[in-house]
Amino acid sequence: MARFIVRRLLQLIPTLAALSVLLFIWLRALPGGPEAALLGERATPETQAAIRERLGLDEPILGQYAAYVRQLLQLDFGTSTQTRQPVLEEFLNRFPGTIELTATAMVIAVGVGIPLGYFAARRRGSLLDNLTVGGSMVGICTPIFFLAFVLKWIFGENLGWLPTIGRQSPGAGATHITNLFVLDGIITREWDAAWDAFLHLLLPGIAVASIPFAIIVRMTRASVLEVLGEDYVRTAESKGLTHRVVRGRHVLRNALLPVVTAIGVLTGALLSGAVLTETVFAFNGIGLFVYEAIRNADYPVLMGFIMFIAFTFVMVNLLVDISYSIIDPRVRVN
Amino acid sequence: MTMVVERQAGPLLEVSDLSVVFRRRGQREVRAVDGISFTVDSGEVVGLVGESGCGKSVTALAVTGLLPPRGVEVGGQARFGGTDLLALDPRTRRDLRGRELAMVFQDPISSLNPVVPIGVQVTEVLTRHREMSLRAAKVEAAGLLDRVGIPDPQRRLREYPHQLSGGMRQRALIAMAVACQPRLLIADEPTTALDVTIQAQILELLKELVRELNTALIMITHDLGVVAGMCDRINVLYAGKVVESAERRALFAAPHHPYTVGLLKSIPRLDAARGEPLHAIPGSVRDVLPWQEGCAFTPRCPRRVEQCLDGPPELTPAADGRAYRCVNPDLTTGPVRPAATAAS
Repeated sequence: MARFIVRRLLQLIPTLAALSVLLFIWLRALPGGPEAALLGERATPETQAAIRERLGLDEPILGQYAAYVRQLLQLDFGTSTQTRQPVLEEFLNRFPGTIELTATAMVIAVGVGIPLGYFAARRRGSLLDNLTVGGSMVGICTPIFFLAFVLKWIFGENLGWLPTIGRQSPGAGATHITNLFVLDGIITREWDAAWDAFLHLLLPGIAVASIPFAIIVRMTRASVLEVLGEDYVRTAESKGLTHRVVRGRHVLRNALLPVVTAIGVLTGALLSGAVLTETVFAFNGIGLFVYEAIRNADYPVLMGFIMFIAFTFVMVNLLVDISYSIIDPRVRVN
Repeated sequence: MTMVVERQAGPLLEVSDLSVVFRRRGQREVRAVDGISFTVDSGEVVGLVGESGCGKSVTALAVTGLLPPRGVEVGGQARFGGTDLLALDPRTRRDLRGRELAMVFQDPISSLNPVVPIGVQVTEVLTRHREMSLRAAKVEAAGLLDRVGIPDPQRRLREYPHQLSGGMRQRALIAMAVACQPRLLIADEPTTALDVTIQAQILELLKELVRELNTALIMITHDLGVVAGMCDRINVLYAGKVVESAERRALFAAPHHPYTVGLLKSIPRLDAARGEPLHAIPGSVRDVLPWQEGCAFTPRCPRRVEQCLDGPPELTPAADGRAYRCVNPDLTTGPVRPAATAAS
């Protein structure tokens, strides 16, 4: 198992290297070159020349690439043109919010989606099953930003049950250690602050979860239905095993294999969903920041974000592969 | 939980007038088993023989209660040691399965859970029915694998189905089935998915185990060669009914029903002249007549006469303990193939 993980980690290197080449080319292919892109409308020939000088754009191209890679290895992603702060620092401040949001969404999507899909399959054709299939279809078809607005309007503005703005109530005065507000509240035993942060996560969490949730429900249902017809389930029944053992060991364990793979792929949907949802709920995560960066053509932030997302994606897929190889012995490499 | 099936005189299993009808919404109902009766004595080996679709597997699944819960209607009786299995509540039947009656299925790779080690799949029967601790069950499981001829059982217990060969997988399934020394074992085409050389080994193993444990065995197969080697009594099934039932020797010596004759003739023979065409029963199992209108085999039968369409033929008992369902039986034929070859 350790060798498997190490090998998968080594496979990260070519992936990230290829990505760095693409990003490097992208920046140089921008209209007017990087200097125009960075300066935007304020560009004058003098400032452009100064930037070219500072960024070493007159050096040979390979030398520029080497310098770029050296910066990346030192986790130097440049400076945001909006905030004049290092990109890395901005990310470290804002990413925990997005992590909280996607984790909440994932817990909702997996924690509710898998049981619901399972019971729908077991009671195939029942009212529960029909509602599940129909409901998940609606879930897949509803654009996230629309759902976000509807949730905000119903639960926040009309019913007033849940907060709709930000990550924490103003003046909560919580201590921040990790910038994961719920975790911070638990560590510092500021229970009110943790609860407050948790409530702020609910509505955006549901919005982000909607599409992955619908997909997980449908996949689990289809997969359980398929496994229920497998010969080994009949064998398990022929051995007179209890329902608990048949369902847990023989049905669910096999049925979850395709779902685990899907969860890895859905991480992409979660992150893009987070960008849209954060803007609706003024939730101060990386999504809101990147949205602003796109509007202001803040290239250093965008490049850093792409690198960051790619890395997260690869890491999540590594986790999926590892958990897959734990559940399914057939993919284990000897 | 501890329902004990009484040991009493008379047959161990007595299936009478068993019928299974599949009803699916929007589909024509299918009468897969249409009034099958047969008995199995303790320690006896009984064959259920017929083409695909004749109802032999469905019979086994109905007796063990493994048919899907919905869309199926089961009628008749299956008395196991005096208790009607079909009338039992699912819970009690679940307690019996794996302990008193066990099954071995056709395809060993799909019948084993791919993501669970062999050891767990063996021990789970032991901990369920024999109230063993996990540790004791592991020791017992290794002994069982050893008994069914799997070398290096300790290692195999930790392995997964895909790491075993086809023959070994079937041996492992047999180990699971005999783990609780059941009184009845049902083997549904246990050798069909295996190489010919492995087939013989598996049949030999089943024969040995049955003798050793005094377990009764129902052997379900389409291959008369398989039943020839091991069955005491053979029931030939066609379109959901028993068409001929006889002791092995009597059946091979003088098959009475034209369908049995056809089945025996269609076994390829080594001593046939070169270039001689293989014999086949014309038509397919789909060309059946509903039993209410006459003998279902009529459309394919070489001996059909007008009375065949006068309604379902009755099961006619004959002197040597056999019974056949035919109005124009082949009473004249001698052995279709030499009994010595058939019984080897």
